[in-house]
Amino acid sequence: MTRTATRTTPDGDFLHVWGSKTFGSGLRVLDDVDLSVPRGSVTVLIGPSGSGKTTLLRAVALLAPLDTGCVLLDGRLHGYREAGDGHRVLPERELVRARLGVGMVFQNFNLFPHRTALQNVMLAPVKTLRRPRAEVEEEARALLRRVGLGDRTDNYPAQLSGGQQQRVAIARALAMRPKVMLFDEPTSALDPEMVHEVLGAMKELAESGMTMLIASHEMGFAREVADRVVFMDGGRIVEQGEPEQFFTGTVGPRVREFLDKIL
Amino acid sequence: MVWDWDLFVEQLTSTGFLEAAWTTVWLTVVAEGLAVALGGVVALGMLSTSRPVVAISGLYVWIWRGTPILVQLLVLYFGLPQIGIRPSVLQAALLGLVLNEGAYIAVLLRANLLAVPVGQSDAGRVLGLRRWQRIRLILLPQAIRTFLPALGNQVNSMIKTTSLVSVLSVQELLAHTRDTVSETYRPFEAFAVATVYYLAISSLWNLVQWALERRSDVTRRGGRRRPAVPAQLSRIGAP
Repeated sequence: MTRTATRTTPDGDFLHVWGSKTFGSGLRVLDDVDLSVPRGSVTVLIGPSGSGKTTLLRAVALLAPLDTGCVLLDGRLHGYREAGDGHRVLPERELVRARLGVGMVFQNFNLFPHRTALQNVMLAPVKTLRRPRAEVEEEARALLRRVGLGDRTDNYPAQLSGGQQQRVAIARALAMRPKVMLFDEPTSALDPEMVHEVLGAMKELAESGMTMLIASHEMGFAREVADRVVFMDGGRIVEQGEPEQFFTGTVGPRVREFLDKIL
Repeated sequence: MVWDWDLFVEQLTSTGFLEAAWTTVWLTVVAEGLAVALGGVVALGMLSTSRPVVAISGLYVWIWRGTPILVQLLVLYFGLPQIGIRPSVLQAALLGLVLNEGAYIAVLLRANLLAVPVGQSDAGRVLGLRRWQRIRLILLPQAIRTFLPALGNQVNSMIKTTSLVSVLSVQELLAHTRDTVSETYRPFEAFAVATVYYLAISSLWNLVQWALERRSDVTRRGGRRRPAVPAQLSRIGAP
């Protein structure tokens, strides 16, 4: 992966998101969260459903911007501008460009069903980065090989298994050369035997030095790959620490209760 | 004699009926084609981020779906001259068919655009696609696929709706049939001929529609290359 050489912030602050968000219904989905992800590190978000994991990822991806607070990426405001003593999200027209630094993989893959695997990967680099088609195709084929789908380039999503579709989705996100990759429960829609092939691709990506923020309950993966585990509940970050901490029991009662349910 | 076979066959093969049938066909094709173009624009208007555009699109659909097409045709042909616009019979007929059908197409297309899972739009957004790119590259191709069966229905309906322009004396099938009856005083044979032509035209369309739907079926197209598509995966967008 190509990486930007400029380092304007200390590593601890490569991706920094803080703030709150309230849904129209009055539900406070993110309640004064503050999360830092160092460059090249892997952070796994855990917590019960409705705890705000997905909303936090969508905030970083600028799909559902924060009401207060902001996102910093690689030392720059990401999708926000200074406004008075706080920050304000950019208008949609400018957000389109701002989103480019962040790649996202969804729980339901969200591949484009009318396009082949190769076309799914090639679409955005050609249409939004305006890169030459031949160059993009070569890179797209290489990315599909990297996730183990070199022989599936011409298949439509409906002809691929869930695990294969998710790996295409990973390749599609990587084709945009993001600085950060977000994963929103990437394996929870998969049959058990397909989980490992997706986790394998993610592990390889982590080893290549990609900065990753992952909402997932794959605790085995977290233990093996994550640098940090963050526990969320009720829109708040309740506890965070190294993965071992979450296994050896030095965690609060709320986390303990949750871990007992999923482990 | 109650039923005259010779007259039936004579009329069935007459150039008059053939020409009238041809008029029905081209009226249907041209009107539906223009209506899809108009409806497409209006559907996008209804989904626009601009309030005035949404309001204008909604107003058009409200008026044209809310009034009988027969009234619309009569207003266009007999009403417009009053304000100085004199459309020919054909112009008024086509305009009436297109404006009426366009409103229905707009509603159908809008529904099919909205039915594309919201995750598709999210995926397009994180990939940096602009709104118009998302509509054109992601939403429309999927919406059109689910829209095709409904369009088939609309064309089928349009084949028969064209009979209404006979009130403006456009020489399509119904007008020609009535003229024939007033010459021969044999309504049964003439209307039987018209029935045969209408059935023939709609059957022909059924074939075209079948071919269109087959072509637009993404899994089937890919399936030629790799035949083993598990049944549970063959539905688009199922996961």
